[in-house]
Amino acid sequence: MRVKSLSLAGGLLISGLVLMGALLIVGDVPLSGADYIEAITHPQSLNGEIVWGIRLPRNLCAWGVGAMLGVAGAVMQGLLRNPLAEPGILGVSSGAGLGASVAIVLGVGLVPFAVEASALLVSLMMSAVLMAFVARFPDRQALILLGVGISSLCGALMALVFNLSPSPVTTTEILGWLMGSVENRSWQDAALCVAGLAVAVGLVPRLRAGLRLLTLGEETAQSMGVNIRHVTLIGVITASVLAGLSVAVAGIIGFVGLAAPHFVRALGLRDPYGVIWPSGLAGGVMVLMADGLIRVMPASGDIRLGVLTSLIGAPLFALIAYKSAKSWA
Amino acid sequence: MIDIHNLDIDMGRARVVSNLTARFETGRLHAIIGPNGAGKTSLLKAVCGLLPSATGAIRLDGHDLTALSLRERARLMAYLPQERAIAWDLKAIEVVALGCADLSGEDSLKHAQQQLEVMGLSDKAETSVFSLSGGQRARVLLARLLATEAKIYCLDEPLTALDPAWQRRVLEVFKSRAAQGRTIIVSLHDIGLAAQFADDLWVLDHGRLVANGEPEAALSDEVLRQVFNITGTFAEGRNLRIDPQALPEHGA
Repeated sequence: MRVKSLSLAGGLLISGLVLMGALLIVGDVPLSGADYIEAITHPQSLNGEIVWGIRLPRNLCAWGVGAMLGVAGAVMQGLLRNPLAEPGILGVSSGAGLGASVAIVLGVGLVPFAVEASALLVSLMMSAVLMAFVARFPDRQALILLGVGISSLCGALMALVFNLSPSPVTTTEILGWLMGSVENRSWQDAALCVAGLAVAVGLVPRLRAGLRLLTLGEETAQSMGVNIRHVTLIGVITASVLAGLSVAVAGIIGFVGLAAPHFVRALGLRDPYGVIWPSGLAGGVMVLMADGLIRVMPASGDIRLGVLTSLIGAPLFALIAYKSAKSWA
Repeated sequence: MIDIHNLDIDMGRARVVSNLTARFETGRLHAIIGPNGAGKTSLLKAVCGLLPSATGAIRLDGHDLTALSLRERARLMAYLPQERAIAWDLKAIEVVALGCADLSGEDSLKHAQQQLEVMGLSDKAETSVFSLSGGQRARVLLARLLATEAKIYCLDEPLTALDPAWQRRVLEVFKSRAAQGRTIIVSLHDIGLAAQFADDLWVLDHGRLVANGEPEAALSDEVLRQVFNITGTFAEGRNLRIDPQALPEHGA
């Protein structure tokens, strides 16, 4: 199992790196071999700026957002013991979307990093509410209900923001941001992805025994020494921070958190802890591929990343639901 | 040895176990029997420290249960809940290996394989649990329990989904574990099997302990009539023969 997990993770990591490298040559401005040599030897040149200042941060953000969503999805599925769970179930993504919408309406969208900071702030507030709740009621059904409640509230507040939006231009700007993109992302955005993944590296190993033993239910896990409250809290912190950061960096990117763990399971990994890192690596590859597709498609300027991942992910979700329904029948 | 003193358990506003005092001796198989809602599951969960609402004293080998850390408890006792859910489609051996907390890698798998052999599933080790029958899955979970090598095993209705031969085989396995110096507490619905295999019977009714002791003593005519609404007689080999023709009115 461990060998399988490591070889799968290795394969996905190499795929991600190869894709990231390959996508450095895809963009609006075609670059020749000499241009790339200039970009490497003179990073301050125009070609250097295109490669190091635009394309590489974009690729890193695409991979990082996918990785955060993949890890968050696998953690939520393991914690809730539900293959249909995904990071958005906690409502933190909606909170981040609300934060971004408010920032755009208030006109601070042009201030560098202001939208991301606002999205992050509201998502952290929602995470704090979740954590306070879990510390008292570590029940998974209650957690799902609270997540639905937070999501609905943030959705309603977002609708209110749209309603009170001062101009159609602002509304379009909010919609565009919410539909997800990694276009024109900076190294600061890439740093947010690194921060999120660093949090995951610190917290995920603490879920090892808990997620595995939860396979047999809470009572068995508890009788085997698992502190359910502790595991739930760590799982919720991990998933909510990753989901919030991913929305802060790239807007709403649908279905990656749901689909990445299923992709990994389809390759033979079943251990709910063992799927977490491979799911992150698979998520990174998925978002890089979707972003690459957007860049090479003729109407590339019009299709948003979140729309494309949802268009690909929704049929997959329907297939998963169909398979689950068949197994329950 | 487990000492329980003045145990009360409330579920919401209802008291499901009331003022129960008992001692489960080491090296014996204790069967808890009683009609539905008698408090068997609640008692087992309380013994395993899974019910924070339980009040009273529970001591394991003289140590207060609440003073033990979760890990210390887990080393001392293992619990098989009534619910048999397995969330992910792991291989049978991987499920059993979940019970080997203190072993790693190869040792864990080797130990898990031995427990699968005890449960007659050595050829199913690499089979995914979702492909197994309900009875086979139940035996995988029993193997997981055995793999813990705990001093105390608490089993809630372990015979559910097992065929008659495996019901007897499972009780024989746990009887032999008791003979090795472990304490086995098992809740059962089959009074006949409980009478045959248990060293001590604990009869619960409406949350109260109404009888305990060796099966012939615990299952007196009065207890059979008042608690189970049946009559029966003991034949050779603790074989309880229930008389279906002589069912009195409840409470008679």
